[in-house]
Amino acid sequence: VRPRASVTGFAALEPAPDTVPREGWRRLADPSRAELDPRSEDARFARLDRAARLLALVARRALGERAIAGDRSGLVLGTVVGSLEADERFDESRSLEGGPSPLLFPATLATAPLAELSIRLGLRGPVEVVSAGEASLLEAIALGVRLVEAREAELVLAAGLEVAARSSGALLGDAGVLCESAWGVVLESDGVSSRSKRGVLEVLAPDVAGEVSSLRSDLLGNRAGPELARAFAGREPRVVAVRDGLGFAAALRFTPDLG
Amino acid sequence: MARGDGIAVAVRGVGAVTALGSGVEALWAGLASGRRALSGEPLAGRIDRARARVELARRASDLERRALAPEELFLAFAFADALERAGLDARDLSGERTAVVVGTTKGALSDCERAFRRAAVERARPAGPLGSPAQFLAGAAGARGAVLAVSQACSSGTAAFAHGARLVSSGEVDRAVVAGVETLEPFIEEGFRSLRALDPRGARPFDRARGGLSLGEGAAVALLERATPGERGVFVRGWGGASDALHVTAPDPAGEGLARALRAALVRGAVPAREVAFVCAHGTGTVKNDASELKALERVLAGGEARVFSIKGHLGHTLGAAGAIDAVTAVLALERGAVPGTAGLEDPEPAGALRLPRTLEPIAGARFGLSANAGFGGFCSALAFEVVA
Repeated sequence: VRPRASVTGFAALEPAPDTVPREGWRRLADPSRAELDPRSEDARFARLDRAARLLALVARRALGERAIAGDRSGLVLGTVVGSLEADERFDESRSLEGGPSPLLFPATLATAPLAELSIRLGLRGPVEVVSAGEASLLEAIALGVRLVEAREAELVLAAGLEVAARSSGALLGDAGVLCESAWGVVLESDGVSSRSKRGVLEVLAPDVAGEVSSLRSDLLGNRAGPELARAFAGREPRVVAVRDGLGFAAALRFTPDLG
Repeated sequence: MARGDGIAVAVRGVGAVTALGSGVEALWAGLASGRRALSGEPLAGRIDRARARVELARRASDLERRALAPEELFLAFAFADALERAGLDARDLSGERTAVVVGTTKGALSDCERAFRRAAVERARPAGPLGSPAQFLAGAAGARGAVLAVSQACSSGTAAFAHGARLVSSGEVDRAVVAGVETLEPFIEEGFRSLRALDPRGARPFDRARGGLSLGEGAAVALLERATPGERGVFVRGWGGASDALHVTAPDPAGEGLARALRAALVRGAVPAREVAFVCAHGTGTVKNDASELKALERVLAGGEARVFSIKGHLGHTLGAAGAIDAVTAVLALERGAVPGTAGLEDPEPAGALRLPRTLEPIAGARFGLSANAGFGGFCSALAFEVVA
């Protein structure tokens, strides 16, 4: 019998409604050291870039005080813009007299924030980034569900993260004002822990997904985030699906645990 | 035929474009001869664009009418190569039952570089840096199943293969077009130079005097499909992923993450470690990677006499494409009953019972082969293949 993937934690970071756009983005507040880890000095905090701090914060909110270190704990991140902001910082350093910064180059990998978080939390299972247009968050969660169902992991923190980058307008085309956001879902193999179990997620064939007409395409890869939050808060089974105009689509069914 | 859990996954066709030439025949010829193609000369000018466009031109889309970005050209050629070898037409792949998974670290980097400078990007990339190559390949294949990019640093191509195999094995799709692609832009060259990670003599994987890596670019594509009863050929039997959770760039000196990824691939495929004939290894040529990797392989494959080789002394480290090119090389080795040696290797590191060939060696009767990769952040992935003769 294939294990099922239960949702045991959820968090979202979105800018306050009155946030004024800057360089084409409504931005999240910068996380403080105390928000990430109020119990310690957190020596690694200073070396984290903004993307790594935002990912660490949404992970902390989704996990609470739980320790999830282990060989069977994985991490998946969905994103459209990826490391674009870190790329810009490294690119700027290329014109410096001493040459580009070796400290900035490793952050130009989209996986860099995951490296920091896997070290912070001791996650030694599968870790990867996925990118699937506006279905990126759902595709990250879908991969987490598949890893649990196939017994490749017992716990997966699946997240979505979009961080402001100055060059996003030029690269992505006229996307209007974009919105930074971070979403985190804790998935666990049922039977491992029933603590704070909200319900079960299943992956559906993407052809059930119709074109989404919601106005939140400003969330980029996290477009399904608000729908997901509504599903997790509800008492009825619900399908959350995205099909964007680029050929990316994903669909999940959430069945709440009412016991 | 099925081993381990799930539906058996057959490799129906493979294609590649690398510094050794366009197509898997050029890849194998270069590997077999031990040729070192480490000049860094851009590939884009050497690809047979007409051949790359053959498949695109058959499709009723605008793909064939516009200029291709370098990563798109690489994918188009490797895709056409894989289709040709599989005896398939792109139309055979269309529809909801086909997935596309592309591994890359920087994706559409050439257009990103233009965007950094507010220079005109010829064509907007609304799917973003990573997703754009996957969107392109899905368009070329007419695929409407899951379409996504996978990024796992230098094991991105391996993770893409693993995910495609996962989707076919679970029955979610009937076939998956899996790929790895990377273009070598000045951005990347300057980055690795700043890290002092490059060997001016060219990469010498597993050599005691190795001094760093050589960079390369390219792509590999494979068509994975639900196997039919009694089918012969090469199958993806297992896959596994793990991470070190230790350092943002350096590997675990003991190779623990890689060892866990390898074991997971063996267990999933029910592959006995002592029956593994070879490993197409990550073998970058850096002091730390190769030492860590040999430790992991010695531990996981204890009791056997597997041959371990790296192709990065032939064609450089192709980053996000490397795992896919390594996987395709493993498939070719099983099909052809031989493993290439490691180009540039003169004085091999001690490796216990493992054998580090310097030149082509026959492996007649071999059933199982592995490919494995590790990347910055300590992220590791491994694949297990079986040939059924």
